[in-house]
Amino acid sequence: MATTEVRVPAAAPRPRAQRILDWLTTTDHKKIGIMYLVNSFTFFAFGGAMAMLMRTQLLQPNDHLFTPAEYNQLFTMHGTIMIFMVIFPLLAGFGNYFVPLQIGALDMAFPRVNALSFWLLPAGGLVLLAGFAVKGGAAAAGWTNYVPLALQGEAGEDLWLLGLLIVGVSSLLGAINFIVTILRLRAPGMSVRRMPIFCWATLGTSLLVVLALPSFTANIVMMLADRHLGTTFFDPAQGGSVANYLNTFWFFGHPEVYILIMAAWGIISEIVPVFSGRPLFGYNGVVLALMLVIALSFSVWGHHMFTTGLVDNSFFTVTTELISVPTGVLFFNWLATMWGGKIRFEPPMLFALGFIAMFVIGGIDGVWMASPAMDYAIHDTYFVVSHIHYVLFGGTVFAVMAAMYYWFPKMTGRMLDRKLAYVHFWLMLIGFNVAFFPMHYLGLDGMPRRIAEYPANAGWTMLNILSSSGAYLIAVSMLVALANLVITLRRPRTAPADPWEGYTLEWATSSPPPPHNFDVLPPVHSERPVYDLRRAAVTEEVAGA
Amino acid sequence: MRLWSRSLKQLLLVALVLCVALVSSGCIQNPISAKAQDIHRLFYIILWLALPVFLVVWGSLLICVVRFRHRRGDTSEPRQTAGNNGTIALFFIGPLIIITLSLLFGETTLAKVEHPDPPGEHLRITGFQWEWSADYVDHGFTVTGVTNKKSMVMELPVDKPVHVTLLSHDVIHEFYVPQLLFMKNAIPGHPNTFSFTPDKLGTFRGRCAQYCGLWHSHMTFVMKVVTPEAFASWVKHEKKVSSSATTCPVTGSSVEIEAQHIQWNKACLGVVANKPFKLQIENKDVGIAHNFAIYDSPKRKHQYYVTPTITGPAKKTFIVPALKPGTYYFQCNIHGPAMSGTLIVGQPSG
Repeated sequence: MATTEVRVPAAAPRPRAQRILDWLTTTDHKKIGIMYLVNSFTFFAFGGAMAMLMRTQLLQPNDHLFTPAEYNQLFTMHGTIMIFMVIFPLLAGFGNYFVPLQIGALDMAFPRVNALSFWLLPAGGLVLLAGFAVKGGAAAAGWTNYVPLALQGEAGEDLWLLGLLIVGVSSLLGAINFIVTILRLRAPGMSVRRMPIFCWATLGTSLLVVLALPSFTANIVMMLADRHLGTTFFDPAQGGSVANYLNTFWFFGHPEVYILIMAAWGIISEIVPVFSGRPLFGYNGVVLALMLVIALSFSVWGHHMFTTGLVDNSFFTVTTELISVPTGVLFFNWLATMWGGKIRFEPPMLFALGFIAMFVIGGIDGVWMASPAMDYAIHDTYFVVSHIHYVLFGGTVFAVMAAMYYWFPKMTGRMLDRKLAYVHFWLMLIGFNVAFFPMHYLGLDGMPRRIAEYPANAGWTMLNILSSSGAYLIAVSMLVALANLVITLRRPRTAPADPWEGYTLEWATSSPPPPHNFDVLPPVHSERPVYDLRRAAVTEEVAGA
Repeated sequence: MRLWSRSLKQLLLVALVLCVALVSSGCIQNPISAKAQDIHRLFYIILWLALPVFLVVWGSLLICVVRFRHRRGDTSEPRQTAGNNGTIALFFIGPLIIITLSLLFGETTLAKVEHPDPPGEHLRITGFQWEWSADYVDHGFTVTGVTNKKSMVMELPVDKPVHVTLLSHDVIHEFYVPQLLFMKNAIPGHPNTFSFTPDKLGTFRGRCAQYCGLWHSHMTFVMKVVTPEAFASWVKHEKKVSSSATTCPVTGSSVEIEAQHIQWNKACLGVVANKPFKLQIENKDVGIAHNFAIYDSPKRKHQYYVTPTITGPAKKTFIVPALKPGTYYFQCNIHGPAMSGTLIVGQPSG
């Protein structure tokens, strides 16, 4: 079929300066998508290095490496960078590159706004990191930045607030751009009911951003005013309210969790069917589940406040338990898709399987924490640290790696090395579990989160050593992935247009796609247009013979 | 195929044994109150509810990986059927059953844990950066920790209910004793209350669980559950300590005091009676607020004077109205007895 064999005509090589300028001024969603990914992986290295330093501090009792002042900055910035500079922008990066391709569009709806929302991101990130260079160090109030503690901070705290204000503008512009792109720029035949689940998930994420983020932005502005303009929104000593901050922060903060995972669900819902050789088991069920999660996610924020005595615990436990139902539906759909399939264990599928196996543990942890009485025993302990890492690392990071191996050939025209990918997968899977499973026990044993040091007689040393060694193993696995990336990028561009027998439109154009995305756009008659093309080709052959 | 299904069964069995052993290997705290016992039981109830979810997902995953893997040379296409709405509806119903059960058990336990215990000891516990203090309201004394110097030691009589009012005047803290399987936030501007009845003798380490700044990891305390006799003699001892007076000479109508590391540099100040006096306060704690309040005694029945809060680093001078001769008590209201002292008002000595 001609459409799958299209090649970019070889352009004359251009001077290096010209190519760099091209990247700096580009409004091409594909280049911007790649820049998102490069930027996020760079910050991933920063955030990961901070995690390694923290794990080295906790390798032994007492502060043998860092003072509490230093450690407090490390965990604050680790959380902040991973959440705002890594996980969300990674998903947005894949979204930037693949949403227009998957819906058969030429570009995002607002290409210049798209470039702006990208460039704001490293700017905001640098403002955040600049905290380490100022007097008093970086912000040290935790990524949740609770008042009144955050009001006590020094210059680093202001940089934190300003940095996230910039990042917030970037996310908001990006989200609006995604919503308009998905609603307005779909190719003929690409009705919403035929849209790839990844696009649904990106649409959902964008809705969450638009609805939840303003609450956080308002908090940042009020906090800056409290710190510098003499207002007292949050200072209880002068009539301000701590409760207001907690409620409005988590009104943003819980949807934020779904902002960080929903596109990952989308990625898994793309990869599992392709490598099982089957359609997604329940397309409508998955879309319904995503929509239910969006709606319910705005009613669960109080479960972060079970121990504050400020909310109705029973109400928030009901909503929290309810939101686990659509999440469960996703699992069943992935499993039912694989059931009866012919699973090919290519690297993307391995990471997707890892995602399912790990994310379910994160979900099950949540059953304990959703029960207020049980939460009284484990809230603010390492149990929670374990839970969020099973969700955000075992979940989103595994999905991001799956997406990386899945889409890398499309983005670069080169296939990543399989053997190194398998090494990466197993090291990461083992390292991750060794690092984070013991934290359940530490939490149940009474180790609070966010402590810079622990006494030698607490009995936590062995499990912390185990956890740190797992963390180092994760670092090694990331170096393997990096090596794979470097080696592969030096190889010739040999990847075919459709190396995985994919289903969605990005596989109908060359690898990498031409600047205008498609030379010929195939017709869309189902949610698997490229599968239909392959079938039609086979039928033609048979008919011809 | 036959071989695979046998080894699959073995694999599943090993996985089952492993995960049961792993999860139930006695990791949760031994409870020291009836309420803690209830939470302890809830932990295992949720474990039994969670286990089937885990087994269904991991079990199907393993079956898929083994039975439905692509075999070399197999070019046939798998079934291209999608699920019908009935099956998908079942996907919604399965989790609903689990969460309904979890909700029922959870709410029953919550009601028990929130139910107030019968009347008993009343404690007013205050968290401050970065220690704790506890007012024994019924006995009129306070125990306190001193930041980075000593942790608060509080004793409780066994089998007697304890009613706690939890306060904070600076940032959010969290009272947490692992063996009570319980934590609760101390929130500025929002007192919280809870009660429990310790039923096991012993010494238990408590901590602040809510990150609260620089020395959060040092914000520990000790809770000793003792016999009623031992408690009575401890109360007697603490009352004696708190009533023993400190003295210092009256030097004039101007005093200076410094706050650093959440401590005053002086435990006693002397000023001239019946005359306004100058009070100079230097707060060397960066980003931390202190104030200075004068009371009749540590029981704080009457407040004579209070300054606004001063956030460090800062130096401020106040004119305090004339006081009658006598012995007064001063403290920083944010940090309470941990930052307190005696104010002697009288005639200049010598």
